[in-house]
Amino acid sequence: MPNLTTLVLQIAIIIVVARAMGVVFRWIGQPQVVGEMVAGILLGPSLLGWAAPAISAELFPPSSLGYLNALSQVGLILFMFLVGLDLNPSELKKGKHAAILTSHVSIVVPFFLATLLALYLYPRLSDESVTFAGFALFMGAAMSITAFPVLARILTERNIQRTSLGTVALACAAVDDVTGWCVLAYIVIVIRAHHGEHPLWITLIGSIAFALVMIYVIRRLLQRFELTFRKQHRLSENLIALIVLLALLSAFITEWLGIHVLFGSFLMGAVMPKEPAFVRYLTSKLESIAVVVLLPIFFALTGLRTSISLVTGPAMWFCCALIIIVAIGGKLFGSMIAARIAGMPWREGAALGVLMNTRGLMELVILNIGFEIKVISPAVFSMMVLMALVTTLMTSPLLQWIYPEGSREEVSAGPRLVPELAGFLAD
Amino acid sequence: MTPHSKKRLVFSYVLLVGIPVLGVMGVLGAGRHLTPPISVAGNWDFRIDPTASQAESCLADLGFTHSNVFSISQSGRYLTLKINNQPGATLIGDLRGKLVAANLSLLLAAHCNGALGMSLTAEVEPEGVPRVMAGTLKFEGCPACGTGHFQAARRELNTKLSE
Repeated sequence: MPNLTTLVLQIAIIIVVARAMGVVFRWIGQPQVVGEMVAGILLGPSLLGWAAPAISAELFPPSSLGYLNALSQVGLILFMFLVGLDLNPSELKKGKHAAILTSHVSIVVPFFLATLLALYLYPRLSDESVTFAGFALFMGAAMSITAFPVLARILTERNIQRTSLGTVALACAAVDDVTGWCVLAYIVIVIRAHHGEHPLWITLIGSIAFALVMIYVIRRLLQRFELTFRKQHRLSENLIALIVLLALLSAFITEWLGIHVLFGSFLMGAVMPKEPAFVRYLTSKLESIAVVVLLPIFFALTGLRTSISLVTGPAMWFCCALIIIVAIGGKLFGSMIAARIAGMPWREGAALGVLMNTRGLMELVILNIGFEIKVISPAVFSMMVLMALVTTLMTSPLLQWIYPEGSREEVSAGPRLVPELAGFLAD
Repeated sequence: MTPHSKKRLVFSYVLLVGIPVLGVMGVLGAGRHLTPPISVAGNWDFRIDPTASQAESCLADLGFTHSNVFSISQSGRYLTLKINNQPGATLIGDLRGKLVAANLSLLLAAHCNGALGMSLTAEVEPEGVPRVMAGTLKFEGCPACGTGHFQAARRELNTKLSE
C-alpha cells in the first residue's frame, strides 16, 4: 500500500509548483507547458535534490515513485488519446508541394544527423546492453519529432494558423508526428523483442493487423458517437466512460503486443470522429484532470529522472552541446532550406524551421519511453531533456524576431480544424 | 506548376530526402563495428577482504555494514557509484575497457578528525555470470585507514556473491 500522506503531499506540491511556474512562463511570453516542464526539473535532483537533499529524500523517497509513475502513465494515456483526437487526417492530405517536401525533409535530415551523431555518442554514452541500431534509431526518432500541440498553440496565440506558414507548419507537424510515432513503435518492437513475451513476428504482424482493424473497422463504428452527439448535442456519462474504456482497451492491446500503452491510446484518438464540435466537446470533458493533475505528475517524474549533475566534465558537456546543436541544425535549417526550395520566401521558410524545431512535451514522452526500455542512459536522458527545453524555449522569441506581426499574410484556406487540444496546454 | 519547377522539386526531393535515407542506412552499417563500453550498471553485492581490518572503522564512516550494496548508474564510460544508497557516499568515476576508477572527496570521517578522500579501482570480469569485479579501496588523507581489497558481484537473476 502506498503511504497516502506522502502521495497526497507529493501531488499537492507538484500541482502548486507546476501552476506557479506555468504562470511565470506565461508572463515571460512562453507557453505554460514550458513552465510545467521546468517545474518538474526544479523538483528533481537537479535543483531540490541538490539544494536540499534531505527534504528531497523525505518528499520523494524512491519507494514512493512507483505510485506517482502509475498515475502519470494514466495521465499520458489520456493525453495521447487527446493528441490522437486532435490529429486530423485531412491535415496529412494537404498536398501542397511545400508541405510534402518540407515535412519529409524535416524528418529525414534531423534523423540522419542524429544517427551520424550516434556514431560519436554510442562508444561514449551507451553500453553493450544496447545495440548501435537501437541507440541510433532512437536518437533519430527523438530528434525528428515536433510537438504538434505546442506548435498549434503557438500558431493560435499568434493568430497565424490561417496563413500559408501556419497551414504548412501544421501539415508538416502532423506528418512528423505520425512518422515519428511509427518509427518509435518499430524501435520499441525490435528492442522489446529481445526481452518480450512474444516472438518478433507476432508483435509485428499483430501491430499491423491491429492498426488496420482500427483504421478500417473501428473508425467506422466510432462514427456512432458523433451521430449521437449531433442528435443530442452532448454525450451521456456512460458514453464518455465507454470512450475512455476504449482508449484503455486499445492501450492494453498495444502493450500486450509488446509496443507500448501510449501507441494504443494515440491510435484510438486518431480514429475517433473528427467533427470539430465533437472533438471540442470530448476534449473539454477529458482534458482537465489529465492536464491539471496528471501531466504535472509526468513532468515531475521526468524531472526526478533528470539529473544535470550526471553531465559532468567538459567531455560530457561537449556531448550535450553537440546534441543541442545537431537537434537545432537538423530540424530548423533542414526545414528552412526545404521550404525555400519548395518556393517559400526566406523569412517564412525560417519561421517554419523555427516552428518545426519545437519539441516540447512530445519529446519528453518519447524520452521517457526510451529511458524505460533502457535504450538511453541516465546522462543521455538528461542531455536530451535539456535539448527539449532549449528547443522549446527558443521558439517563441525566435519566431517573434524572424516573423513579426507586420510580415504576416493571411491566406484563404479553410479554418484550422481542431486547435483546442493545443489550447488547453496554455490555459 | 511549370514542368521546370516540377523537375526542380523532384530533384530536390531526391537530394534532400533520398540521400539522407541512404545516409541513415550507411551509418547503421558503419555503427555495427563500434565497440561500446561493457555494462556495469546495477546493484553489486560488495565484500571487503576481512584481512583489511584497519580499514573497518573508516568504512563504517562511509556507511558500510556487513551486507553492502554498491549501486552503479552507468552512462557509457561515465559512472556514479552509491554505497548502500546513502546520499553522502557517492563516487564519481569512469570505465576504461575493463577498468573502473572512481573517487570521492571531502568526506567527513570521525576516525581521521577531518576530511577524507576515497578512491576505488577495480577490474571487471566481463565473461562471468554474474558479472564480478575485484579491486582496491584506497583512503587518502588518513594513513590509519590504509587500503582495503574487495570483491563484488552484480545482482543478476537474483544471484548473490557467495560468502
